[in-house]
Parts: sequence; C-alpha cells; structure tokens
Amino acid sequence: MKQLKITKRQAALMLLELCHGFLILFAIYACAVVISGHGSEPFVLVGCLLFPLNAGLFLAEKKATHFWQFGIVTLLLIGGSVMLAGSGVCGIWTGILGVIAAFSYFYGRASKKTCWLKIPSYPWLGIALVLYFLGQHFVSDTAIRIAPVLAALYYLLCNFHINLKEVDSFLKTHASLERLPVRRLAKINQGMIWLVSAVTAVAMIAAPYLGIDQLIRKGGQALKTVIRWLLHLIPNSPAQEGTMAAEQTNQMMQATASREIPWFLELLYKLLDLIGWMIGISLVLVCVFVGVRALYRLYLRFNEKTEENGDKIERLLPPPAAEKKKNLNRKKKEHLFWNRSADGRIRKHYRKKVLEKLKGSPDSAWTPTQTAGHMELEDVDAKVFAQIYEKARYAETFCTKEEMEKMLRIR
Amino acid sequence: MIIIVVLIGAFVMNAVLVKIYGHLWEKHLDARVEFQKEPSLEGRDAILTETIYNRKWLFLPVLQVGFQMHRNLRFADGENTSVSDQCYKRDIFSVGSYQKITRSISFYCSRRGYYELSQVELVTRSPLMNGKFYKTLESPDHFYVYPRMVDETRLEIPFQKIMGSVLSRKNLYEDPFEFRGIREYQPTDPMHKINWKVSARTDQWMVNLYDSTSAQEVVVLLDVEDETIWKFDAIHEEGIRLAAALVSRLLQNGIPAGIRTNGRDLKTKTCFSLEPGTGPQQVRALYEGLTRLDLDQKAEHMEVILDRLREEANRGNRTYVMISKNQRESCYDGFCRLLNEGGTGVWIATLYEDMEWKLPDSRNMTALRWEVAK
Repeated sequence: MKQLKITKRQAALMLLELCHGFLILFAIYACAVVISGHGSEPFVLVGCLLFPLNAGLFLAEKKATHFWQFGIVTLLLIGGSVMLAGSGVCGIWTGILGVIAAFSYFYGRASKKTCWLKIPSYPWLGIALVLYFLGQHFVSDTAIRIAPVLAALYYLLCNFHINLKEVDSFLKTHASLERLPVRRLAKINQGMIWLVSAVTAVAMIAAPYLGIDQLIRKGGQALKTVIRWLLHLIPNSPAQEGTMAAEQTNQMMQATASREIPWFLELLYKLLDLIGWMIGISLVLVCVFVGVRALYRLYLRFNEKTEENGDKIERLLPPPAAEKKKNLNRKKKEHLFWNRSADGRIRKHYRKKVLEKLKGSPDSAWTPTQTAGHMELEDVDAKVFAQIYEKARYAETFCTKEEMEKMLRIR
Repeated sequence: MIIIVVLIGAFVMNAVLVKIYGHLWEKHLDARVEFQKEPSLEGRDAILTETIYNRKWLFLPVLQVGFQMHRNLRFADGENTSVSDQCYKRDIFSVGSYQKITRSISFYCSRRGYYELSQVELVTRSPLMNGKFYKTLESPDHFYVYPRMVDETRLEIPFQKIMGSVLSRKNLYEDPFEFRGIREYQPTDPMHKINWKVSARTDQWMVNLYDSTSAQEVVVLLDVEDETIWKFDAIHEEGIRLAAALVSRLLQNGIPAGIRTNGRDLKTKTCFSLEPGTGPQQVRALYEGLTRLDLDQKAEHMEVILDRLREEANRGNRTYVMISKNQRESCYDGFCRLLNEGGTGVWIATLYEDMEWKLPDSRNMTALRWEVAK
C-alpha cells in the first residue's frame, strides 16, 4: 500500500484549509438563503452538506490525475448533495455553491495557483458580519445566532493556520540547520497556540458580558443621530423615508413576536435546551479532564533530565520549590506601596529621587553612597541621603519622624 | 451587535497576548556562550558551550541564539555557521519553563591566537510565530589557542646547542629548598646534612640530598619583523612555535628562561617581554604572551630591543637565543655586541628552503638554520 508522505503538521494544515473552505461556503450559503427570505427555515443542517462536498472536491483536486476523474467526482458530489438537500432554495444554493467550488478548485489547479478556498485570512470574517446584519435585516434568528459562532470558529481557525504555516515555513527555511529541535519545537509551539487560543476563546465568550456591547451600541446610536441630523439639513433627504421604513419594520417584528407558540413546540424547545445543556456540560467536563491530565503528565515529567539532539536539558527549580528544598522559609514580601511607616516613606522617596536623577535604575553593584554620588547632589545632602536610606533599609532600628522629614527635604 | 463584540474581544486579546509575550519573554532569560576553560593548541579541537537559562513559567517555542567568532575557529562540519569576515553561528532552541539547555559544540583551532566573544543575540517569535522580538546580551569570554609544538626530533639539535652553552657556563649551588632524596652517609659528608629522624628509624647514618639550581638564564629573542612589504607570516609563526617549544623545554629542565620579542601584544600594543623565571606560571605567561602576539601590527626594530637589553643592569649570566629570519648586518652586529658584554648565544635563522644563508661565522655564537616548509 502506498504510504502517505505527509507530516502531522501538513495534515493539520490541510484539515484547516478544508475547514476554511467549508466555513466560507457555508457563510455564503447562509447569506444567500437569508436574502432569499428563507432565513426563518432550518437551513443549517442542509448547509452542513457543504462539508463533504467541499472535502470531496478538495481531495479530488489534490489527487485526480486526469480531468475526467475530477469531473466525475464533481458531478457525483454536487448531484448527491443537491439530491440530499432537496429541491428548495437550500438545495439550489447548495448546487450553485458546489459548482462555484468545483470551478474554483479546477481553476486553481489549472493555473497552478492556490485556490481561494484554501487560503484562510482574517478579512473573510466580513462574511460572518454580513450574515449577522442580514439576519437582523431579514429577521432570521438562526443567522443571528450562528454568525458569531461562525466568526469565532473562523478566527481561531485563522490563528491556528497562521501559526502552523509559520512553523512549517520556519522549519523548511531552517531545515539545513543541524540539531534543530523539531519535535520539541512542535510540542512547545502546540502548547503555546492552544494556550493562546484558549485565552482568546475565553475573551470572545466574556467580551459580551463586559459591557462592551452597550458601549458600542450607544456609540453607534450617537453616530446615527449625528448622521441623521446632518441628513435633515439637506433638502428632500432620504432620512425621513428611512425613519418610516425602520418604524414599519419594528411594527412587523412586534407582530411576529406576539404570535403564540403551540405547547408541543414549546416542549420540544425545552427538551432541545436540556440536551444542549447536557452536551455543553459534557464538553466542559471533557476539557477539564484533558487539561488536568496534561498538567499531571507535566508534573510527572517536570524534573526529568533529557537529552535531545545532543543537548542536555535540565529542569530549574522555581524559587518556592528551591527554597523548600533548602529548608528556607520564604519571606512574605509586602509591597512598599502599602508601607506608610517612616522607613517605608524614606525608601519610596529614595527610589523616586534616584530614578528621577539618574533617569533609570542605578548599577546593581553600587552602594547607596555611590548612587548618591552619581546623583549630583550637594556633598552634605548626598551624605545624609545615603546614610538615612541605609538606616531605613538595613538597620535593625527604625528611623524617626525627624529623619524622615530630613530625607523628604532633599530634592 | 454581539458579533462585533466577540471579534473585538478576540482581536484585542490577541494584541494583548502579543504585547505581554513581547514584554515577558526576555525576563529571567539568560544565554551564555563560553569557551572551554583550558586553552587549546593550534591544530586541535576545542569545545564551546551554549547555555540557555529560562527562569520563568513562560515557555519560548523558538529561541534563536546567534553569536560571532573569529574565522580562525571553525566549527565541525560548519554546523549552523556562515563564514565571511567572521564566523557567524546561529542555533535554534525550544525552551520550556524553568529549563536549562546546554549545548556543547566542537570547533577546530586552525591558527594561534587570542579570541574573544562579546555578545549573544537572541531572537524569538511571537505566539503566532508571525512577529519577531530581539535582544542582545553581553557574554564576554576569551580563549587562547597556543602555538603548536614543533617536532621534538628537530628541536633536539638546537636544544642541545643551547644546553651546551648553558652547561659550559653553569655555576652549581645546592639549594636547601630543592630536596632530591636520601642516601647513606659517606665520610666526606658534612654533619649538617644528616637526617636525624631517618637515621634513628633505619639505625644507620643517612644524609639528605639536594638539587642544585643553575644560575644560568636563557633569554630567547624573537624577531617577527618584516623587512619589506612582503609578509612572511608562516616563518614568523614557525618562529613563535620554536620559541615556545624551546622556552618550555628549558623550563622543564629547571633552567630559568625568558623571552623578548619585537612583536606587539594584541591588547596592550606593547612589545611582549618576559623576564627569566621558572615554574608553571612562567610557562603559562610565556604561552599567553606568545599567543597574543599580533603579526598585523608593525613590529619594532630588533636593534632597538637589543640596545635596550644591553642597557639593562644586572643582566647576570645569560645565554641568548636569537630566532629570526632577518639576517641584516645591523641586527647581527647588535647581537654580537650583546654577547661581547657577557654571555653566549645561539642564532637560529628560520628560513624557507630557497632562502640564502647570509650570517657570517663567529666565535662567540653558534648559528643554526631552521627550515620552514612553504
């Protein structure tokens, strides 16, 4: 059997490119369905048919050696998808997007350029935005709900893709280097990108709850008011017509909202809600388990001494662990900011003046007297400045209030 | 509106993460490039060690460590190196949290010299690998590549000549601090040599034996001056090797030896000289001084060095060994004047095979030809 000669990284890149193609096609499909006025119908499941369709075309473009092979695969995939999708608007758009995708892949291969369905980039997020606003305009609840999810997924996909692409090109560029720690690099990079993605995902989830929503909304409304006011200044402006149209839309929305929902549908929604919660909780538990397991493995391997490519890798003890090993008691450091005693104020004043006069930190080897000497103070002041600081910093006795005042007078 | 908020959250978080990473990556990060502690010899291999310390929780997927070294030091197989005016080396590491990575690299010392390392350049990539951060660390270190040893069999003749001169003028004194051993008492031995403790233990009279110290000193005069614009670096290098070998051999035999050259020190720019002495420190000082001789700097005239030597008081009983390719009359006269004022001498002319022998015969001095391979 012929072995696939691709690395895990290349396979991951392919998967991400494939997902990019699907997400873009899906977003276009969703936009088309919403514009055609069928946004209120369940169109997501049918849209998922674009994944196997895109995947098939993706692989056919890669593997087909003759045009007829690509043609047959295209016909089968598009035909199959349309048949599964049905003869409605969803089916038609699935077919149309299938044809566009097939043509794009074919053109990309023929012109020896990378097909646009294989190049993830941040500007494609615009489609999700368009879908969201179309959903608002054409009153499609599904579109409004899936657009942020689509955008979030696509954003993370882009992050992963950029990272993997950069790692791949980095490793290719430095392939001639000897003792390149490829495995370690890949492993640590994975850790980094998962960490970044997790933090980004948390930020994406948390952002709507941080009041940014209201801020943007109010900013937008203010801008809108200003523009409308400016438009009113123009004779026979379309502003009035716009206002009327908006009012009509609001009335229609209120009418839709006032319609009553049958009890069985309500029950179904509640069931789906429950299942959704269960899936959500399971996913969270799985994530927690995976995280804990990874941390446990890290803990087990923490003090391992290894050798890779002839490099000796040793673990350095973090300060608390090192102090514990040496039976040292860690001193609890209190920040100087909270210290309002005479000693604390003297030290703060010393620090402030030193930074001010030297325009930076002094050399770590300097004594307070040397530091004071570099500060261009008068001789008497420099002596007092160093002496009082040394008392506050190192002496067992505390400084008096008079000493503190003496210190604070040195400018 | 939620979509905008979500995307803003994502973009802001990415930017913040990159900023935080850019701020934190260099904290508690140290990189050192160090030569092996012991000096090496010309034509031998030595070890260079790169050590990375990352004393923080943040890990660095990619850390490029670059430094430059003199091109006379060549890495084995040219590992990760580009050679132009200098030898530029860059290595890539992947550093975990609280980790120390040590990499040892072997390199070949192609020429004698004093080599320095000054800086280490660190480059890392942003979390998404699409940005770069730079930092330069000071990592001063130096390394001596001592001159190669000359062939022992070839060295035997000049060494014997020098030893002949030394022995003919040697005054022997017993040194009570140079203990050599113990033997049975002979009737001619003085009483103060009896070792009372050992005699009591062995039940017979035993006396201590002491080594003698030689009052004779040897000073090697090394001439690395080029008379014309034509450079004879190979001959001078051979001269340096010969001087190092002779002096170290003399020191091994317990004869105090020193050196005077007209070549300049790489750092101090002064002519290197070492007063006669003995011991391991003398050997070390000799090798370090000869290693630091810079043939690119203009050497002083040998006549000036000889005049200075003549003017010195308390020169004692010395044997002078001149190592030079130059056979000009003024230099020869200067050397003869030095010998006439007390001392014996050997002149070793380091010459290519096709070079003419011009030195006249002299009763005071022995002249030898040392052929240098082209």
